[in-house]
Amino acid sequence: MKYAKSSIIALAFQPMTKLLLWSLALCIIWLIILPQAQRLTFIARHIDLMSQGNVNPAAMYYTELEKLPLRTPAVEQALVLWP
Amino acid sequence: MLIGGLLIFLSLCVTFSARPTEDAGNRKKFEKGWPNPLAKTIDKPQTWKELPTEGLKDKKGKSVALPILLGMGWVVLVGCFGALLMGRNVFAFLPGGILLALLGCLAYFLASQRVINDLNLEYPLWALLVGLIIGNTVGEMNWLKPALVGEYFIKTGLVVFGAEVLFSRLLELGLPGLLTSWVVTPVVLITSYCFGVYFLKISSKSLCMVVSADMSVCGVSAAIATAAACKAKKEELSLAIGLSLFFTVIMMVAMPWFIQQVGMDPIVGGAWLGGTIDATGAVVAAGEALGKQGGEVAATVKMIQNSMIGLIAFAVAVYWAGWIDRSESKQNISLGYEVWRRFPKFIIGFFSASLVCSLLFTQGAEHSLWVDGATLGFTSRLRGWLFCVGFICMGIQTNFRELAPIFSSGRPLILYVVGQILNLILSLAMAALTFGWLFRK
Repeated sequence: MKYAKSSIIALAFQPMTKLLLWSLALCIIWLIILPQAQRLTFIARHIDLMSQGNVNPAAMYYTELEKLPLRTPAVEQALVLWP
Repeated sequence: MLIGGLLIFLSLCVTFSARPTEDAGNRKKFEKGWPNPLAKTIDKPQTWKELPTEGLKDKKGKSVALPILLGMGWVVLVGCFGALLMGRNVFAFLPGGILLALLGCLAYFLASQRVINDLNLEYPLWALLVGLIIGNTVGEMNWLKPALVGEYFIKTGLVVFGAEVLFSRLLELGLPGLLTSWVVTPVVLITSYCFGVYFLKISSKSLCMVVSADMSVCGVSAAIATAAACKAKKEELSLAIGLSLFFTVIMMVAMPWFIQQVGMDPIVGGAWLGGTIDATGAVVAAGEALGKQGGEVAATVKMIQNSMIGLIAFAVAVYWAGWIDRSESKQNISLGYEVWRRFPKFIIGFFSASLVCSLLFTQGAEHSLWVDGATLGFTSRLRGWLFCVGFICMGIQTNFRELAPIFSSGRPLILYVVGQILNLILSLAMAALTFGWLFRK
């Protein structure tokens, strides 16, 4: 029994086993937990708002946005851009 | 630098060869620039909710599996060219290069999950995580080592990125936009850097610079550019990105709520969001809550800040080469020569790409659509893949033990928080002054 226990512990510290355990953790989080989390009211509301506005919240730079942020007449009406 | 320049040139040529014959200068018709045939050869996984396979189809239901596969092919190709230029064995690079491209794809899939995507947890974070898992489990395998050229991928990505950094965008919101970006951003950057170095006495000046730049300019992209300019360690860049993304999520939720609670003018609120929240996507997401005008101002102010990356990276590189690195060596050589000798040459490529594309962009409506087509259709996507693979290499090679003493002191966190508080106060003051009073009709 003691031998089996120490073998399991030794196996858990093997590089490939560690990689498999990490992969399993990622699968559980991304395939089970996160799909469930998006059903939570406040997250679902945020996702809906982003979908309706056609927004890419993960854009790292403006070129990754769904729509280029160009000046619109509405902004020109509100501001004096070049006095 | 050479490969990055060639890729931009290729994209510009291909876009020009496929230019539209009618309405070539019509921005309404070609909102994202002229169609670029190279766009069909590169893409990334799309957002998915339940199963990753949903990420293989775009919003119109069209399959993007082939462009994703070809995107990985571009990464391997760029890596092979790099190996050739560096005089290394291409066949030794190939197996590791293919694995890195596959891991890059995995990182993109992790980042594309809807909850993760909508919380602005960008792909560099997941690329680092994937790399860290590999590095801390199976380690650097011998056959993978020749492909672990993260610095090369990041630097090539930065040169390609230069084409997207258009100085002409700086004028998009006139004088109020310029004042908000050009006064507040450099003041916060310099003040927080000095605060970190002289008050908190953080031993690594490059860490202070990277944290200050990602907090004051525009998050991850600024962190990557300045980290390369000041030769920061990969652990320092990883730390700065982690800090930035953590606080971005909080600010993205808290700031629009605060603006609405105090009844702030949406245009002033938008300018404040654009000037303070690090990540571009998070600014647009937060701006949605302020309505059309507020959202537009927020996104445009952020875009102006985005356009400053080139100048800031260049200035940081000059400062580092001429003062920081120089002070650690003999000082009997002329400053100009020393700056040139130590200057990271790829920054010249990055800056030149930015300058050339900015000049081209300002030549007229057709030219601006040409540049947009070349960048949005190809170079922007390729840059994403190169950064992603670069971060995987960084994750594999990262040794957080080196940073543990600095991080456990809590000083980088204090630097970020204090710098961000200063940024919040100055940006609000400038937004209220320019967007709320001086330039308001």
